[in-house]
Amino acid sequence: MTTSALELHDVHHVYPPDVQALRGIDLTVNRGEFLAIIGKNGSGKTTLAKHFNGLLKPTNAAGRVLVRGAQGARSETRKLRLHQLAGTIGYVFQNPDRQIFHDTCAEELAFGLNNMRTPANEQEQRIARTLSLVGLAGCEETNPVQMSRGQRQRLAIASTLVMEPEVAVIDEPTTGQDPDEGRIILEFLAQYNAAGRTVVIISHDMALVAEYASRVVAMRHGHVLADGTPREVFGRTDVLEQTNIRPPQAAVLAARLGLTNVLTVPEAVSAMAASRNASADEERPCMS
Amino acid sequence: MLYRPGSTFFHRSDPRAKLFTILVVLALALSTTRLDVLLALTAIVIVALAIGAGLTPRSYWKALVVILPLIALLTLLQSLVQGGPAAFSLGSVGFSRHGILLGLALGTRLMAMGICFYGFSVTTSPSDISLALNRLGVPYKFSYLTSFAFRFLPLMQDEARTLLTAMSVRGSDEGTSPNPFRRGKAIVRMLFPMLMGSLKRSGDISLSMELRGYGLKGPRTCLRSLHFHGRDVALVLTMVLVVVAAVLVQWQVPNPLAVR
Amino acid sequence: MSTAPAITTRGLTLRYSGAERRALEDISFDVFTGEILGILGATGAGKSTLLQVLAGVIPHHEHDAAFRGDVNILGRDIDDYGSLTAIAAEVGLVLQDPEVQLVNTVVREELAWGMENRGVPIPEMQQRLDRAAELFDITPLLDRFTHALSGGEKQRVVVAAVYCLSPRIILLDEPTSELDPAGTESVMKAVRTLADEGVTVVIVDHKIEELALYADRLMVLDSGNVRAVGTPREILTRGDSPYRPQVVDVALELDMMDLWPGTKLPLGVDEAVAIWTGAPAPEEVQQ
Repeated sequence: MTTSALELHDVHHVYPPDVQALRGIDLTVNRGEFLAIIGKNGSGKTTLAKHFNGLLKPTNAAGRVLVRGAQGARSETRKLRLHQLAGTIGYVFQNPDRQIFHDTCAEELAFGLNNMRTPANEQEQRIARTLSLVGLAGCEETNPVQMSRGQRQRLAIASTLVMEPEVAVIDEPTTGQDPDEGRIILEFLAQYNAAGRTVVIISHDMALVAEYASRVVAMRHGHVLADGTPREVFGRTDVLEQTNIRPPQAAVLAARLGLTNVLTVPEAVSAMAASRNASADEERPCMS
Repeated sequence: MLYRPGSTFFHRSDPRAKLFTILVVLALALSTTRLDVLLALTAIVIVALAIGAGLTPRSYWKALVVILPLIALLTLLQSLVQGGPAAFSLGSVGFSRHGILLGLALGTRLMAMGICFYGFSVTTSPSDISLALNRLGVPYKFSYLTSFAFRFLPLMQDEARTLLTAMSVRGSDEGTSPNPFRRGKAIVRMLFPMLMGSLKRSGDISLSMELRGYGLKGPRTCLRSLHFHGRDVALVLTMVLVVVAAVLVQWQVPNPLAVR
Repeated sequence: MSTAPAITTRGLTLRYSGAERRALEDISFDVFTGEILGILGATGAGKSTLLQVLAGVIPHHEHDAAFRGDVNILGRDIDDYGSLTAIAAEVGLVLQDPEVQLVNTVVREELAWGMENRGVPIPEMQQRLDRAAELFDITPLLDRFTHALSGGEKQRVVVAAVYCLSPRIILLDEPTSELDPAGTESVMKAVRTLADEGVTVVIVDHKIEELALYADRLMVLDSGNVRAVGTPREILTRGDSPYRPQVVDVALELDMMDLWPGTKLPLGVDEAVAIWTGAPAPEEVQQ
């Protein structure tokens, strides 16, 4: 049985003066999921994600966000201060330059560990392990200023992952990265996820979402419009047309050809090959 | 940023007329220490803002609350420093009546000027301010700085907020700690990335401005223009009347609160 | 698209001081008047550096680089222009970060600002402003504060502001990075319109599916070298290309199984559907 890592009940959020960003969200994030939140600019994706770790609180009295800690006890984000949740829910902002404070990568990662009171002898090992996870092995003494934007993005994510939160929320990890960088990032997030932890990303890159996410939540006008596996969500073309989300090209191609349940390139190839063979079989008697 | 778009009388007024108005209020407030005149001036400012800009004290009382302890302190100090008959005494310490009145007057003066500035910045867009300064003879390079500052102030604020939140998200309570020393540590930690960011950005900003012709010699055109309407003339005339009235009052009407 | 080059470059070589290797390595290419040239390449391949050279930012503004090579803009050597602002009158450069290019408080003033600096008469300014706002779909944003816009909105305003200056060449550095698919498509369409009117466009972007449909030619940069130049079809349908839309992958796989009809590989979904079902492609219908 899956247990929940996060539960949202009837969450509304209104930005002053009266911008309705979320209009009644009920959502359970299960432990061990790789969840992708998609939707066009302004659909409420980031506002939703910021509720996960209490960066934002519901603006309606009935709205509740429950976080399940390591011991299984549930606590409401409304009653907690931000830093108290840090060990349970990690949050990485979009712009790496607004979350890197230190002169070396090792110090950057140690910041969170120090706040968690991680013993010094354990820190070194965890830092080395996390840096190698994100492909920055041996960069302990490197100054982040000298790194590329892609590397700084990885460092920003690493400085949250090193704290080993139950749930890691990452806002647009691949925006502004070239395709290779984007793939590297999702690859190591998948590894973190494989260790049994929950990963939540906000993303515009549908090909990567289709490949890596185990669950997709599509947002529109502050509502959850579709929720399911990438296959289920990207298969609902009727819904997607409203959200301005474009499924991966292979899925669009297959759908246009009337082939269902296709998400990736190999699936499109085999579905199209199968349909061609089938129609060839049909036509053969006529041709002879 | 304080400015809130709107269409009230003061929103629609020419920024030059408004600049004249705050200069008059400023001059009047600084020209006298008579509490009765200053109270009257404050009342006029409050009423004018409520009618002409829809700004009731409710929208700025938070700022007033910050000034109140300052006024109290000023009054206390003046009452101890100034001579003359005591209003009352606690033990052997006498509190000068003249000093109390002077302290209250100085406080009221602050209040009148503060509310007036607040009203100006809420109803005048930064670009209007810069345009008005330019029309009044300030070179464009300097007048443009007003709107430039208003453009980048929110960005810096936003950046500072994200940096502080990013620390909290990683388990630090320094940014929100009630202990000023711990808070200071968070701010120091935040300064370096902010400085680096600004440095990097300022080079790019100056490049993008140069590419779009900033600093070119030759005549500039301006899409927006300022028009002095009848209501602006009325505003200026009203302020002239206020000055005359204030002078007459101070000259002719004896101060009812004066120490005899 | 005409055959006269708007930009000609010969032997561009550049090394930033202190860098181990050259950022540009003996690059020569032409950009024709009214075409959209897309530049592909990984981070650090030299794409942004190349745009800065074409805009005269290197060496005019950025002095920290050893540069040699010839750049010819609209038939004149770039050195003959004399100053960066003189080049900027012909060449509009949109930098990657929109934040540094918004220097006014309100969107309308942002669009007007560059024209004001150049003394464009008010009626013409108004005309260009309205046209830019319409083309880049930002008319509803005109009275908004620039700092309160979303990332994608900022990007569109920045491109529109440069367009207002009526440059004959526009260089765009990742103009759609923060835009969703609809926003990206609307910017690409606007850029296509500009090119059809004779503006020459060089665009650096990672979105190959969009470039496949909207660019006239693509150039692949790798570690400061030009690896390939050609039409999107030549570049994106090569079996060994690191840049391939998914429809090309699908078609290549099917081709290996001898199932892909014909010899033409598709660039987009519409074309793939047309080839697969044997129906004439949309463009062919028009012709």
